[in-house]
Amino acid sequence: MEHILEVNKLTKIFKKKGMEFVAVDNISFVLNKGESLGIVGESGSGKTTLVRMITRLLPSTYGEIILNGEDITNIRGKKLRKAYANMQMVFQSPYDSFDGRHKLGRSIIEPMINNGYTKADALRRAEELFERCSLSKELLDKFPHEVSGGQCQRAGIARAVSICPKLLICDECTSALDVTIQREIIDLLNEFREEMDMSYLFISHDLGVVQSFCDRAIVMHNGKAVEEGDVDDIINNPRNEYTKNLVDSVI
Amino acid sequence: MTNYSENKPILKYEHVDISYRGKKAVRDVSFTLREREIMGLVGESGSGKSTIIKAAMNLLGEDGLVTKGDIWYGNYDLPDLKGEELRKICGPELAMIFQNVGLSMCPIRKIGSQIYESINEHFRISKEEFRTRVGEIMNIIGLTDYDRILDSYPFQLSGGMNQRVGICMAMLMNPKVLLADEPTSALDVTTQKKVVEEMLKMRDKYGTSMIVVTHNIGLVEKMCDTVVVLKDGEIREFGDAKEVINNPRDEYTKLLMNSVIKIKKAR
Repeated sequence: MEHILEVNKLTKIFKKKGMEFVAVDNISFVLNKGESLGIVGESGSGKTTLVRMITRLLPSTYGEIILNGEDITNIRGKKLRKAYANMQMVFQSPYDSFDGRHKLGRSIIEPMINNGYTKADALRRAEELFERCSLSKELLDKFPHEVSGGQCQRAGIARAVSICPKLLICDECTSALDVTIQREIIDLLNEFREEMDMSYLFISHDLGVVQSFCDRAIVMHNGKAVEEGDVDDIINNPRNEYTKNLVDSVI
Repeated sequence: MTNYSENKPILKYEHVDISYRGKKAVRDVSFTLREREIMGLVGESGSGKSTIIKAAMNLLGEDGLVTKGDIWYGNYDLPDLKGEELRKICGPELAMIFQNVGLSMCPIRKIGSQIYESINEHFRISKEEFRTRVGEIMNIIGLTDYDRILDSYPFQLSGGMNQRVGICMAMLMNPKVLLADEPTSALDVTTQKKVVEEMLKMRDKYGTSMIVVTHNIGLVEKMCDTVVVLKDGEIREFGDAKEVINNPRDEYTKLLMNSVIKIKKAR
């Protein structure tokens, strides 16, 4: 099977006052085309640091990141912008991921215009996507603070999928939302997965959500990957002591 | 219903309406909390869960007002209490765990001195005795380096640590009724489990009644006897927790329960 993302021995060491702190410790994995990979772990386990390195929002200490066959570990400028056409993100806090001084419409057409759409085409597609995400197109004319958290997150998803990325990275994208909204978002992501043949990297602390959405999962603890495998397998037969404890604690 | 339905009522909401700046947030809410009972208050954001429990402790702020109905604690109608009387009840009788404990504390004073002050307001206690008791409780709920925490400022701790400081504070008070606003929302599942177990122990040991505001249905299933389901400020369903979760009758409750994503274990 073809790999969309390959991460080799990725490590992040934070240095502060001469003290070293290993936030992500030698993590390697591959994400196959069309697959959905979950990353679970508790606060401080390094999940977010890991995806921030993959998305190049944070420089890595060492290791390499290969996206769609291209080494993106150290690329910059134009090349990096090109890489983002293959990789998009949906963040935890929907409000913070939009520019509060721009209307949603402007924020959503911007990536499309950067990727070669004309303004008219981009607007048409934005309207289409909004409809797909059960948002009325009047919302394109609203500021982020004028819509609800669930609506804003759906707009975030619309923006991320607008340029048909090969990889969508969701960092706790449903954890701030009510359960009914969470269900809708997961259903929406599933629809897009089938339609656009996207792969997902899905970061969450909620094992239930990961189980319902992902094929495979990696369990992180203190920066290390302590277990990796089929989600149902991990939940039913955890091999690692920590994973066992984690699964047993879910109520 | 559980065996608690025979117990004496301790907190009674009767046809309560609450408004913020003239806009109704809660409409005609009535329920009774009995001794030793743990009641869950569930609903989505903006459904009025927190407002309901804040009203009992007169914490609605300048904009909020109980416009109709009564909240009875023994012979006291809580919304009518003022000053001295209210202070006597809030703390040792009724205590609250806030959702964002970090924000409910003074940012420029160390946590230790703030907890000490709040306890000392109601009971005389020496500083040494205070440290040992705090240490015991913090140890149980997973704050093992409690000396460091007592000497920290609220902003130096993580959300989960602050939340546990609030839980510790409420437990020290040992109130008759504990009102908990999303007590475990910022905690990891392993810590959440510890806190839930500790709260259940507290009920068994001291007979504390509790109202737990949460959006976590799993938590309700694990610790609550009864549950109130709220939608847009109105009660949609009220009853035995297991009954409501497994056989919801109201349309909205059905939708809510169906949306819950639980982990499926083969065993």
